[in-house]
Amino acid sequence: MEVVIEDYDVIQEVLQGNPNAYAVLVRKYEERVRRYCFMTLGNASYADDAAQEVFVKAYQSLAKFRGDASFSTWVYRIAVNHCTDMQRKAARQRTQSWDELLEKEGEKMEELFSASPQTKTKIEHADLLAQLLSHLDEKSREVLILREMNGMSYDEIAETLGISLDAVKSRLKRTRQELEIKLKHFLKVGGV
Amino acid sequence: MTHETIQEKLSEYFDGMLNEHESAEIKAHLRGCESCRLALQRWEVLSLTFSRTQGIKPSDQFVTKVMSQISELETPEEEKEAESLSIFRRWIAPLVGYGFAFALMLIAITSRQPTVTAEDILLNQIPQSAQWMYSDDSSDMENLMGM
Repeated sequence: MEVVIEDYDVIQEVLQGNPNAYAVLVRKYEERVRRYCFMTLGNASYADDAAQEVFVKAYQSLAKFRGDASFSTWVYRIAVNHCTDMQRKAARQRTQSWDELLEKEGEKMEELFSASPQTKTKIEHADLLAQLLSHLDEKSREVLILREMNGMSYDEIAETLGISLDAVKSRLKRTRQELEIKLKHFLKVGGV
Repeated sequence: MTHETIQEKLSEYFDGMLNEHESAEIKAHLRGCESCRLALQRWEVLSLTFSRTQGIKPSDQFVTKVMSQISELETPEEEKEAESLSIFRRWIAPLVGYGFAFALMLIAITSRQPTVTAEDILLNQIPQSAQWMYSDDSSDMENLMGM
């Protein structure tokens, strides 16, 4: 039988002088934190560096973790803030406009949105999706990634981003409507 | 609910966040409203694409990298100092020593003065044709005698 170790117990073990226990938490959340960084920063190598820094920051602040929120919400909050800082510092300029992206990657976009659920994920599709998300504003992108890719509930998103539940609802609705309009041509539904 | 109110609530309906009564009202609206129905279907395609296209796989290497940074953070300062001291003892100190010895040798070689013997001074005073008589070197004598 698999023994479920609570995050809180692991944190206590780390704080009592066993830093190696932290590996349990890194292993548990690394995939989701790296995915968030990747979809936000749009580059796998930057994303892994950023995600490492997120876990190191979380470790250094572990003594301040009071357990009001779950460890996952807390570490995501660090990831969101860290990626936002990185983007602002780098003042990343988009190399191409939305129209240029559609023109250049049109075929891949068709393939991306028309693939069946059984289709094997291609890494270039993930890159393309990251490029596409880079055309959303920061707030829209954050909320969409946390909901659609990390599967968070509205409450968790609100807590992670430090915003109200109403703000989560409104941002998600706005972002979906924006993407629906922008990608109408690729989102083939019901014979339309 | 009006069409506009339903449009406002559609995203929450999509995420299953509405109560039973609101959901039923929207369901009824969807039967007669193509634009709301299409919007929901497009969001569904988007959502499926996002969940399918994760792009990131679990990585043990990543965990190892993080833990090695943490181990570095946890190494006490004295140990780090001792380690850097040991590097100094093993490599830097001998290198500096050899360098110093080499520099001394170079200085000694470059500052060496040509030695002048008493024989050189005396021979300088004597005409060249007679120098053979005072020279120790037999080849000098042969040269001077034109042999």
